[in-house]
Amino acid sequence: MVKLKSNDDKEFEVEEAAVIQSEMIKNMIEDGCATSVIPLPNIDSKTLIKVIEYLNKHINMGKAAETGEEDDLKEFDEQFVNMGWEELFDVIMAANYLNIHELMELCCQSAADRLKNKSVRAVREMLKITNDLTEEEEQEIINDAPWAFEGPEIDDTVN
Amino acid sequence: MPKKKLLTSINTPNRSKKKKLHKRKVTFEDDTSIFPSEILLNILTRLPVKSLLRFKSVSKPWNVMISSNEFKKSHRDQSKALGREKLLLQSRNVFEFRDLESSLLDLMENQQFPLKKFQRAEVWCLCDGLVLLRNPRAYKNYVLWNPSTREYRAISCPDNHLNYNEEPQRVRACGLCYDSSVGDYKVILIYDLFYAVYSLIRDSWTTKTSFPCPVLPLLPGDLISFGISTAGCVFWSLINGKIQLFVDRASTIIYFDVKSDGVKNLSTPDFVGENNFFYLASVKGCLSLYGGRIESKEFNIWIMEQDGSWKWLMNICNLPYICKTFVQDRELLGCTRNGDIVSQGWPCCRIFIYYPRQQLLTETELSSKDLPIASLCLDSLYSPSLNVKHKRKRQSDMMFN
Repeated sequence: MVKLKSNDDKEFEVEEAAVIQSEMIKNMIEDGCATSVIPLPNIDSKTLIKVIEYLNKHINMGKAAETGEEDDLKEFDEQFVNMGWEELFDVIMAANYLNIHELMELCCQSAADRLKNKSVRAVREMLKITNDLTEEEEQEIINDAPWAFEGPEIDDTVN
Repeated sequence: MPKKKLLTSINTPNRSKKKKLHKRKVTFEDDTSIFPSEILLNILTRLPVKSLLRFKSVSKPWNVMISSNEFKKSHRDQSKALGREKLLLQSRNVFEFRDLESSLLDLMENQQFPLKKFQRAEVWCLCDGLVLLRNPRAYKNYVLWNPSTREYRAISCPDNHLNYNEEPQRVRACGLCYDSSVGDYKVILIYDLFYAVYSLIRDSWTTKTSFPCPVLPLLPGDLISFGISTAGCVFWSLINGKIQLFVDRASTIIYFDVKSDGVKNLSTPDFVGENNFFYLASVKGCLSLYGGRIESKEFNIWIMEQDGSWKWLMNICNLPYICKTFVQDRELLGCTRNGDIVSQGWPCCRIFIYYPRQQLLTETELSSKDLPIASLCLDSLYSPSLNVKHKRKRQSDMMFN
């Protein structure tokens, strides 16, 4: 078992087989730097619980293909990313920090799916981006492909 | 900074002088978003082209990044990895795009080609997201079109200097492929004594006479052979001096290799035996051969790996017809994200999808009005148009910054 500590000082015990899906922790263990508790100063306990839930479910990824549990795993993944935008953001940052490739792929795809049909205004708000384009520049971009700004799918809500 | 001093001393109008002085290259690292740029890149390469063209107007760093060549390349590679392909159908003068992910192949959009004389053009070749169209009423007119960005470039084929006094030669075969070493797309047209290669970056043709084997003229009714594009190569087969796409023991596979700009031979793989009938296709970005024993009710799909070795991909069984009939009448278009095999059937407008896990072959009739010509088209930002716009304006607002 490996002990992980979140930035709000909560400790979690995780099986080594699960936790080594994180390249970062795997390297720490291999280098002998993971003797007692691994502090994770960038991750809060709420996010860490989510990440551990994912790691535990994906512990036997290789076996799933043999036993035909792929569909089960796919369903879990779909349920897993069914979370709020802020929460997804935290999980992405944690997956990036811990270097968990599969989780990163899953969450980035979910983020892309959410952004896909958003209006420009909604994207700016969701990602907290300040618009530094002049009105003229913005109009020029619209004029280049006006059809990309039209369509029933375009969604101006922020969520 | 001697360079800046030099600029101010040159006697140029005030506007451009100010522009140059204030100009600082905006990069994606200037992005103010909550995500680090590396993560944002990962997310953005997963978006469809329509979203990306819209999101260019999110901010300056986004515009710079989405317009950059590196981004176009990573986005295309991600599109390939994710299998983000649409089914492209042509029915009269309308191009239809259908969603391969939906079981009924839902209509995503309709497009009319912007140039009137190409509205009924023939779809000749596809490579990634680029389509080569030819106007059937003018033998020299071609268009390279990216339906995802809706951009196009009209090109005319090279003059045939070898036959001044004769009828212009007809194209026997054509192809379209990507040269990764320079990031260029190339069109290749094969005539009987020479072939011509068009470079999208250089916007010019080169004519070559060193064709490895003689090609016979097309007889009336013979079809032009639209080559199979894979990474850096276009493939055809050669049977009795005719360029085709079917492969048997007696045929030779030929290919245009973009690295050497030459046409070469490829030896027919051993699994193509006597009484076998195969066809060339592109599956998962690789050259593929599908077929088997002429009389059997099943066929196999093989793909060629990067190192040139052949790998067996799958067996398709319980065919309603014998292998040769099925393979001849169904053109294998490719493979979806889920690994399902898509083909189209002649002479009726049907799309066949084979689900390997259930060993199930389904057919979808798309419309009764026409004979659609179907291909799979990748979602890509690569623009075939010449880069001539965006030179005007912008100075005035730079002045006030």
